[in-house]
Amino acid sequence: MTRLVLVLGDQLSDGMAALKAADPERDIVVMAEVAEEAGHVPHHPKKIAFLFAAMRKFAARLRQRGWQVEYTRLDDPENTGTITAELLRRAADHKATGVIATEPGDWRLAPAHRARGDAAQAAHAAR
Amino acid sequence: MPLKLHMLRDDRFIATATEFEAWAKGRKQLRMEYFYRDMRRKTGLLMDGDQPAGGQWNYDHDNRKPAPDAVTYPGPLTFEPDAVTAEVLDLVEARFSNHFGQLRPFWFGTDRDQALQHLEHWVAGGLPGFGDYQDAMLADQPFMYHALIGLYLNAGLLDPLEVCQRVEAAWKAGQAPLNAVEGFIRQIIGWREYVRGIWYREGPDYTSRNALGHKNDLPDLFWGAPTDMRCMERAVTQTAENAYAHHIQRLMVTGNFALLAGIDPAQVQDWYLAVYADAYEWVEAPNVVGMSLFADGGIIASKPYVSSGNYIDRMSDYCGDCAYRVKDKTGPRACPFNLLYWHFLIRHRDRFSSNPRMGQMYATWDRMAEDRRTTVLTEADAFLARMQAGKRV
Repeated sequence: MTRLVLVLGDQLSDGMAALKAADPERDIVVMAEVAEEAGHVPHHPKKIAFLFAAMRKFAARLRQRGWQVEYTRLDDPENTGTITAELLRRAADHKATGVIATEPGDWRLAPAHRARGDAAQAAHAAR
Repeated sequence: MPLKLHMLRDDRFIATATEFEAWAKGRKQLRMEYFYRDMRRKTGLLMDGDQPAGGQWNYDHDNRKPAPDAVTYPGPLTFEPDAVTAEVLDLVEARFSNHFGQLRPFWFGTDRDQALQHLEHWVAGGLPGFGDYQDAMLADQPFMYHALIGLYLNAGLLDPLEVCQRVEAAWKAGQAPLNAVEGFIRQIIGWREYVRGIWYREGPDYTSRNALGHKNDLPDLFWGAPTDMRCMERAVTQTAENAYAHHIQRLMVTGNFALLAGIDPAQVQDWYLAVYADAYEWVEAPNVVGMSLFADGGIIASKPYVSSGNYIDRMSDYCGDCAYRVKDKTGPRACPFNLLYWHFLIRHRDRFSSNPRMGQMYATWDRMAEDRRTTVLTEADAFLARMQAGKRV
């Protein structure tokens, strides 16, 4: 059973929780340069360049360490433009049944994480 | 078949969300200093048994020197773009040249090895002066003695504990003074961890808070339109060049102005998130909503960080070349920070006059002659009207 391992642009650490929980023998790392993130606010071109370059080099580092990495470049014709759609596309390609991810540093990015946030919001309202 | 999502905690932070919650629960005020001391004990950084190294937890009173005549640190290590980076630069140039900010020259490191080289370069040259001049600003020095480490830390190329241990080792080797080393370590295991905890605990609606009801639009000068305010011009120009401004520019120039001028916090957040290469929501939102704009109503800051032009003048060399006069409290060339400072305090008098740390400010206002007070508020209103009309200010 193949699982996808999501690595976001600010998760370029060898010891990311999702990488530690996955198995390079059978799981596939997914990384993607998506228009949704680059354009959510008009990020400084240096910031976008830094993250894309660092992501590409981190993907190469992971491959050297034995991981299979499915990397989507911004200008890839198949690029769907969002993290969620990229995960679904890669899941279909690899018949993957699950995704291992590390919680993002932005509430927009993860439904499951947002549920935790809704609880925090309710707790805040109750205070 | 539906995709099953396993979302794991990000364990690159020193404090877990559970630890932060345990610390925060039941406290009336979530002040960073006490949390920071727990993190010192947890990591053992700058600890002498169970006591803080040097006898004090915090040496911040040593870290507020005005700008020096010259900065001996040449600035951050710069890197020539390699083949991977060069290809990305062409892509970004083609797709995002409509975004604010200059792509080239591009000199950031883009992998862990380069980030480590950057760290070593700063520890040797920047760290020794970091403490003393942490709050100082010079017009032609975008970096001063600052570490620019957030760029690499927040993307995951460096680990917070390894960075702090390296800095502690420099102090132990006699290469940097305790006030610099403690001040830096406090930013990482204190402030950085604290804002992560606040962001997580407060949840997704934190970014929409607007406790002071500020609704003015972000003026175009934040995006590089001409301004006569030298401090703002310097901060915005340097931000466009480097995707970076140092802490005190972000807090006491652009942040201070946005707060005094009553700018909508959501627009201010989008700006900080967009223009700084080290900015992600978890770190940007608490710093902007809480620390800088008081839009969370005081969860992070015990009082708003506001100042007139005097503070900027004392800590920088901006004001000498400014079209406005910092010494003028009213009149055609009065520094806008002077006018807006009082405007802010008076429009929020009900909220802040009972704050014991702000009573002195209101006492000063009340001692001013009435016609002078009227002039200040009238001129401040006129300034804000010009700003909102899109005129050059």
